[in-house]
Amino acid sequence: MRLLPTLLGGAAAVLLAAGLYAGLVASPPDAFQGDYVRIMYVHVPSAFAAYLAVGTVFVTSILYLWRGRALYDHVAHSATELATLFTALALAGGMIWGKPVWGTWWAWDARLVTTAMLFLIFAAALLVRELAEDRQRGARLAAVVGIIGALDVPLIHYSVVWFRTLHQAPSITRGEIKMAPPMVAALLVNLLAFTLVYLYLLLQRVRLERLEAARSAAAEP
Amino acid sequence: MTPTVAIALAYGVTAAALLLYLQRLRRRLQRVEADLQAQRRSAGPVGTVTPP
Repeated sequence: MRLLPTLLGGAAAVLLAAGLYAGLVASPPDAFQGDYVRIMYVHVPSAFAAYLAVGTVFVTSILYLWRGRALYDHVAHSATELATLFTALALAGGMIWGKPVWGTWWAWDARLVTTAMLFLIFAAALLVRELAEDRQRGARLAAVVGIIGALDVPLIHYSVVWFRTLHQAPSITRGEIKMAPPMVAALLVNLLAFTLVYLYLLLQRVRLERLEAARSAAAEP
Repeated sequence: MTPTVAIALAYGVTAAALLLYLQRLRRRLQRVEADLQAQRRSAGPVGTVTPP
């Protein structure tokens, strides 16, 4: 059981190191943004990891509401925390990139606002769980809020297509890649690295959740 | 903001957040494992109940 997290953690560390090299050294500066483009190699993977976490919350929350198994709630709770973390990182990376490139830390742009909404909804899911007097009621409420939050993801993704936004449209679409191959390679390595980091953190967080449940059960008279 | 500062800030914030989260997770895991061991010890060994 412990072998998988160790392997995942090791692979994530190696890929993160490779991603750092690819993003900071091997990939070229952008013709328009210059070296600021290197922020993309942590910003986009953070957003991708947030999407993965939101997807996990969506599926496990539905399963928990349907089946009521504690394991689904443990995974949903863990993924909600990680979705909040990675969304905050995506927002932070975007703001740090936005200041020198757009000239502002924040703009009331469709992509930015819908992403901030995602962060707030998932923070709310964590909050309702903590504030509920009954543990199971808190879990059910958090599942409902998590499902509502997940519905924001298509809105975030297509906001740059549906609305006139400051945020650029996707550079990689089906059948078309508007990036130089070394940039695509650096981005893919970092996407894979962040995916493994997410999976590693999720496994550890679920383990914590299960152990805490076992502790609570053992402490009950 | 120069590119070097912006890049250092973005990578630094990301690395710091992930490391802090991981450190917090590990501490909580160690604490709960220690609690469970203490609970097991205080419950006593299984199967040594004296028959009436």
